[in-house]
Amino acid sequence: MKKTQISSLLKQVSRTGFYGLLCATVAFYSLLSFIRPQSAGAAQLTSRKVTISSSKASQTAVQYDFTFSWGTATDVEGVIFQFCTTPLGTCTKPTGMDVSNDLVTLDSHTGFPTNTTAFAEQATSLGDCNDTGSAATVTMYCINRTEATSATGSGATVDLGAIINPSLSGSFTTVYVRVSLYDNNGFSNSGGAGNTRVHEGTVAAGITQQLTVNGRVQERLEFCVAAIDDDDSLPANCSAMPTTTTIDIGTIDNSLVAVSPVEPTTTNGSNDDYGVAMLNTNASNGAVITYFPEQASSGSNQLRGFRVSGATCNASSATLTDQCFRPAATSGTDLSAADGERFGLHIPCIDTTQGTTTNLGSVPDAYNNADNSTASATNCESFDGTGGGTPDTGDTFAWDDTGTAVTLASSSTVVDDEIVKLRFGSIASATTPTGAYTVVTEFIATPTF
Amino acid sequence: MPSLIKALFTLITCILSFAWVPAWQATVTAAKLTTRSVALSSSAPSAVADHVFRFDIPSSSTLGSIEFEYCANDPFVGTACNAPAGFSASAAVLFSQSGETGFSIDASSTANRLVITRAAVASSPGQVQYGFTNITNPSTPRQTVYVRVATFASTDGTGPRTDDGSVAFSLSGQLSTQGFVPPYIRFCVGLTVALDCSSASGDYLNLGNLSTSEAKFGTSQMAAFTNDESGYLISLFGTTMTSGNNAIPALASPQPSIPGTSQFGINLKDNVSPNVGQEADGIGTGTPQPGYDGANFYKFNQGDIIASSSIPTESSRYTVSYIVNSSASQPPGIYSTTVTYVASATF
Repeated sequence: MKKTQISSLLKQVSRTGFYGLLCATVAFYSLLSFIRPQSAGAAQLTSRKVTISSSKASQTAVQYDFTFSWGTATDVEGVIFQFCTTPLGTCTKPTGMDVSNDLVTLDSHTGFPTNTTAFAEQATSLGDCNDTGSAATVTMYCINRTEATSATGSGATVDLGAIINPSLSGSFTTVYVRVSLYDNNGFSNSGGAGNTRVHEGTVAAGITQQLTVNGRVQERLEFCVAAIDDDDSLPANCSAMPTTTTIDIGTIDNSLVAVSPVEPTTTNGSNDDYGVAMLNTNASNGAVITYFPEQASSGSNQLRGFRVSGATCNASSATLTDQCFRPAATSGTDLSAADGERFGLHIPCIDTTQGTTTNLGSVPDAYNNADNSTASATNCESFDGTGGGTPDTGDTFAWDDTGTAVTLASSSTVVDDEIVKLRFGSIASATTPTGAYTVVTEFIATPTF
Repeated sequence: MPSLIKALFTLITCILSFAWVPAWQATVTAAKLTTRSVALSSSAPSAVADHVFRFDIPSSSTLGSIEFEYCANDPFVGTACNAPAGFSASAAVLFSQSGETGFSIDASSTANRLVITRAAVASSPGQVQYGFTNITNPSTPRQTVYVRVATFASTDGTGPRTDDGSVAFSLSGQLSTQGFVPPYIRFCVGLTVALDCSSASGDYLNLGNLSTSEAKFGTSQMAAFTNDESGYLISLFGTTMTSGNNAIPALASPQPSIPGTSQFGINLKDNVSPNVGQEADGIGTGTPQPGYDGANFYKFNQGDIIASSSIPTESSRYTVSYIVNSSASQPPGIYSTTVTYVASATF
């Protein structure tokens, strides 16, 4: 910057400072004239209040809706709203508040004598309305009209909009709005009819800090599997799920398909249980339920089959004379028409009576009913509860002994306590060796959040 | 002039201060990793399993390390974490990775916090996948475990998190299915029987008037199967045909039918002399036994094993042919007998 330029700038600053000081002086003296004593002659507005649309500090576009009444008949041709930090005395505008008339809007008014004669904003200072205008510093917003009708007022309203709330002083700021009614549109209070502030009163509004409420919804997964007695009601959630995990389908021979739950008799050794897998998750991308048979810890071959513990089975699962059941086909086998021994898993339905969603589905055909539906209402009801019995014609069972997790059901969105019912079914061949057969099946729920 | 420069400096400082605050805030406000999941190879408590994580990195940023923190209490990244009981990732091996690659397990990893590291370079938005093996699952059944995942610009999982998110898995889900196959042998006898013994009918065979010129004959059937590993034996019990004190001699050894000679015998074959009987059918492994397995040769000897299988077998159906011949000296009378077949297995 050149020296001459700096010199010029300093001169300019000096000039600006001089004019600023001059303006401040004028403003000070003007302010003195604004300070007027409360009129002893004006009657009190009654039932007065202001309702604000937001108490948030520095909030813009806030609605200030005034309501008041007056008991002495008068014409009302001017109203002044003065926004102050105190109800009486010298008015100081709350810090940060803006009621300038280039901002504030007169939205409506009701209840005035001949209310159809509309009030309009008084844009410049006039009479007692001596601190209004477009400057952000003004304290007054004034409205007036020409209407000589005289009447009392009950519940008259004036709605002002687009006000900017003050900032906070500490944890709160109170805005006092002094409301004055005039019987003239010049805001004159020089005395006598047509020159009187006829009513006045102050209302207050609290501007306070906002409460911020934070909450976190955690990723949720409740998945439980259990063996449940056919005579018992379904659990409401995983917490109520029984801890039993053994399903005994009892005696298996080649004359009848044994399907869990198998009603116990004095000789068949079954426990009337079937399997349930219950899922509850808020994973928005859904979840997948998979299964795989666990590998037996002893024996050889067909280690993920329905087998006698420790048995040496044939390498080929087609054999009917070893102590390992042939698996139902991965594409599904109708056990009632099975060609010799088979063991598999079937999903009769997905119960949705315990939660609020019906989102689980997509049961593969191999594990599905003949009608390819596992809908709760139509299929769980037909899951009769009398125990076992022959599956419906065409219902298929499947068993995947590869060890790879196979999808049994899935959803693309949240799931609320839906229950996948699991039936294990088996039929022996004439040559299936005697023995106690078992397999442990593992179920996994994988939600995608 | 000095005061003006000072004022300008103050103003600039002020502006810079306000400009800096949002930038700083941006670095500590982590974005969410999306479409995130963890798939376990086993959900059994205490099982040694694979844990495969998949998630989307939402935007490009410097990526030097990724944290996988296993917690029992909650999924909230950056809060206190309670390690699940029994869980251990101390021996974990990073066996697969895709998307953002080049990672290895960082030495700062702990039993419940895996950190993988690489040289810090800019990442690309998109799906990534990291698979760990040899992780010991928590030991508490039915427990929900949260894994807090976060990315870092640093190479050791320190400093502000760039993006984060959590996944969950559950240790539940095992069912044991049991069933018992009892020892069984199914055996049925009648004039006609179904192959699977689902039906059998008739228990009386009338051979009519005996003749010296032709054999009289008839048939009955029986079927059997068993899951006994030693198979089954079908034995013959009864006497030859008698009428009071008179008897038609039973054939003690296999003999052909000779009309005019008193003889009584059976076999389990399809014969032509006389034309009676049929071969055993069914997919079973049972067969007629010697003495009763020759076509046109008949025998009747109480206690004989007439059919058997040495292994567990599906059903075989046998047709028993009865022949009776009478000599001219055979006393008249009504000759009859009751034949009993017994199937047995040893189990």
